[in-house]
Amino acid sequence: MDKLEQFKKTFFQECDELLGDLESRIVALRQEGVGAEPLHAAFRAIHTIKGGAGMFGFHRLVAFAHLFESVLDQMRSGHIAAGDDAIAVILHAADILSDLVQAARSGEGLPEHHDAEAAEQLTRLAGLDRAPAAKNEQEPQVSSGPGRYRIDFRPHPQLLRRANEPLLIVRQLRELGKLAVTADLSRLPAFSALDPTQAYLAWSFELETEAGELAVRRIFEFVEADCDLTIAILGAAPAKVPAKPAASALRQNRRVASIRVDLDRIDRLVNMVGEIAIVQAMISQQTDQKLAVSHPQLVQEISQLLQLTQTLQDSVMAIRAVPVGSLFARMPRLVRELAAAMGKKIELETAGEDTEIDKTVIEELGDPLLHMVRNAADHGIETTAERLAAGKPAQGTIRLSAGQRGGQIVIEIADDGRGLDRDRIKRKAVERKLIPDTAEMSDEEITNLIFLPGFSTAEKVTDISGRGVGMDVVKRNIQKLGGRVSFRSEAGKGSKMAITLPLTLAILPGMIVKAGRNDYVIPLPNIIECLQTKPSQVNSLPEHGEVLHFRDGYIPLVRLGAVFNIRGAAFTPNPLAIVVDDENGNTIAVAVDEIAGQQQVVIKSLRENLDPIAGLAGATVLGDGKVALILVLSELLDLHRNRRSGRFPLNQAASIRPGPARLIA
Amino acid sequence: MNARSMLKEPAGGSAYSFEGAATGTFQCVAFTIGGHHYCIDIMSVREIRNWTGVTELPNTAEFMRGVINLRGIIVPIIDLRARFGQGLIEPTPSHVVVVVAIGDRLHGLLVDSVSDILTVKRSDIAPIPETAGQSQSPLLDGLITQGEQMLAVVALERLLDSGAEAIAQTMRTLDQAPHEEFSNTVTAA
Amino acid sequence: MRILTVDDSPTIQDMIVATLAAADYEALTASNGFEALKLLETESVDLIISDVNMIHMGGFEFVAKVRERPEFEYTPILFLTTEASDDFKHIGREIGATGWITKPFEPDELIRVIKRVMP
Repeated sequence: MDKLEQFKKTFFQECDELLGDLESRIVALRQEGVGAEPLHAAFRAIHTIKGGAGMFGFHRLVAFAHLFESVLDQMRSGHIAAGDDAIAVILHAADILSDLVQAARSGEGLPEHHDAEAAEQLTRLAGLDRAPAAKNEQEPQVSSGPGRYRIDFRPHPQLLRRANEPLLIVRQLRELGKLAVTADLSRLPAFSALDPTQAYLAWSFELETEAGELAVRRIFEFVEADCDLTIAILGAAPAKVPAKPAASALRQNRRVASIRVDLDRIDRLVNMVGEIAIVQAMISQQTDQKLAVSHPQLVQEISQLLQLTQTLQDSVMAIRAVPVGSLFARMPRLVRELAAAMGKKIELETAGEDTEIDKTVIEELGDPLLHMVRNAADHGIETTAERLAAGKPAQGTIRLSAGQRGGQIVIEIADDGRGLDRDRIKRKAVERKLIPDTAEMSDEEITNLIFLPGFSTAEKVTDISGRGVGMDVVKRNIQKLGGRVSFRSEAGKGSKMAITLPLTLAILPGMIVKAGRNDYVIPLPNIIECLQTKPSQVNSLPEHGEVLHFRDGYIPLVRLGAVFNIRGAAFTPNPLAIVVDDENGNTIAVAVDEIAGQQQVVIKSLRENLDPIAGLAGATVLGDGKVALILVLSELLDLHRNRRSGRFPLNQAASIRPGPARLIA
Repeated sequence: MNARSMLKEPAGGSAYSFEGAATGTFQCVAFTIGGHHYCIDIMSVREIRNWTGVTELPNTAEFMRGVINLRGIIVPIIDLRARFGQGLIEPTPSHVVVVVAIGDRLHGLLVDSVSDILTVKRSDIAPIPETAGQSQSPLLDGLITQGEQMLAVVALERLLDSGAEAIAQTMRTLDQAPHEEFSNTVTAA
Repeated sequence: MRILTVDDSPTIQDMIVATLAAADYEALTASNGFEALKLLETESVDLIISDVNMIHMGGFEFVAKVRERPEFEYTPILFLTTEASDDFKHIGREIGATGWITKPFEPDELIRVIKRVMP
């Protein structure tokens, strides 16, 4: 059945998503405990998978999921603690569940014992004697044969309040068989006194039906508590089959708030839009200056068309923006496997999964990231014995984080392991003839040796770290994307590798604000609060300029209009203030004229035709074609302070290479 | 600094932003600002559009009006009137932006209107005359006469020079006394 | 007749929509309570079917919020639930729900239940 295949496809897609998040939720569960959201989320996920599996008859999957669900349910009610052992069992179960889902999807069977160990562990954890059968949630239809019933039904007002409708109930009764109805109008008042929210009517029914008593009772199941109801069986009656309504053709009459789209379609869309861009460039070349002078209207309109196409292209690119978290998803399992294989204790922390970046960049980042995490686990984190000997906690930590900083996307892999042994690095480099042995090098230069081709300090190339992929390849791949890789390390303490990527391909969730006639974008994640200040909240200090009284403290109030010298910016004694974290550890309030909304913005570089501008990270084009400027919050405080002392930057005085001063002598 | 020394000999492609010295003629786009006529080499002109507003940039010179979106590229707009020291006006949709390439960057020049495309002989370009007490204009490369009209050729690559005076100019207030005008049509900055 | 289904499981959504469409109902969907409330600001519906266990906003909270709006005071609302315990029924009624459908369900049964609360 075609429809069934479509439903299955949707179900498996859903499973992918749920399973993708499951690991991180279990890890979070361990940190946050059984009372917190991650456990509930994990429970819901397993519950959903079980439910769907039940609909398609994937019995093995249902059984395992049911066990899993029971364990999580018991955790929710506090019968099982989220200790290390329990978490280990659950993590393993998550892996097995994933395998079972894939098996159901592909139709290939898994060996009998594949889930046996995990199932056993879960059973023991849940304290269950035996694996219970999947709950049969469908009520059996008990048909007790033809019968005659007398039903007395008097609705209370609450019945109507819950949007139940006696008429519909009557109709359903009628569908069951032959129905005789008597209405009791005794309580009906005069029309002028009629209150439509009251229930005045009652009925007596005599019903002849083959459907059985249960079916009759079911019709009243929603309203039982809101009415006076008696159902009396009067005896057998001749069978009569109610007519079934004819099934009509399937019509997809669907309006959705969100829609799932095949990745292929998006890629095709992107390609198409790319081709439009090429044609647009050709048209642009054709509209030469002569045409502009002779047909200004036509050229103007072509220009508008081209502008719309650009907006279209940007919007399509934004569809392809993907949270970086999808990259992080495979890491926990990898780290677990690495730790197990190497006999080390390693914990993986992640942060900033919501940071969004174009899908193509994500794809390119996958392998470098994997390699770096492997390195950290293999070379960075020491064995438990070594760590304890060094006075460190037995468990090493690798921290994977993504975020926006100073107008770039930064992805960091940090570990608290042994750091770089600079002497060893230097020796290796000399051994491999990469540097002369007399070379004098700074610490940083030595660190950067690891990026040279042909460099690897592994004594032997282990399976785990992979073959032939050196840091130089990683660096090249990142640079191809227009990014940089940097590496910092402290011997004995740990290392941090940072990948920086330009924002031009990137998407940013932003709040659009107005100052003067201009629109600006404030990165949404940095916003702490937006408020309409009261005059009493805004004060001026001699050395510091304006400050805002905010949550029992005072923070600098930076007026965009002032620090940017915006013409026409309003000066109100109590402005709209957006309180933000400026990435430098300061909380500041940014005063604006208006808040215009929130949206995902596609970041455009300002650097094509302009020199750097203090305070701006880039620009974006809003829906109406206007340019909005993206703020660099970390630079605002400096601008604010400099302004107070009379210094402010003059941007763009020399957009081209400055020539000798040739103006008026 | 001797004003006279600022006069350059017309030479192939140096003082003037023209190419095509060999042919002896070139085309230029003529435009007006405040009743004065100017022109620039058509080779630099990428596009001509109407004024549709700008987004102002922080802390920029007054003649740097802001940026616009040109089919996905962010392009800065230079107000030529302001750059020539003739004050700041509020542009309307009937004003024109001439998008030019200066070096490897695009800029939009805000002017009143574009009038024509002219074919000019290079030999017809006259140097800007000196007048006693009047400073030389570094922003203009020469003068052209077309019938009754005189057009000043704009030195594109010097529009954004970071001369000290330019900085000083922009730090001063809006109200600036207009410079003394020539008897005919060209105004020096 | 227009029916809004609120459920964060696309599988359930698909199945309900297909069943409704076959019975000539117009189907709208939302994946969570927030989306649904937003949708209800501009769309009118004749029936709402809502899951109980949803991540961003639970089913009970959603239904309570819907009932706060005067235009939806008498709109029938059905809960979609795997359990129809007495506790659940009690809370559901207190919140203002009209009835419930248990999961998993047969398509015919869904329609039957719908017809019990909506003409």
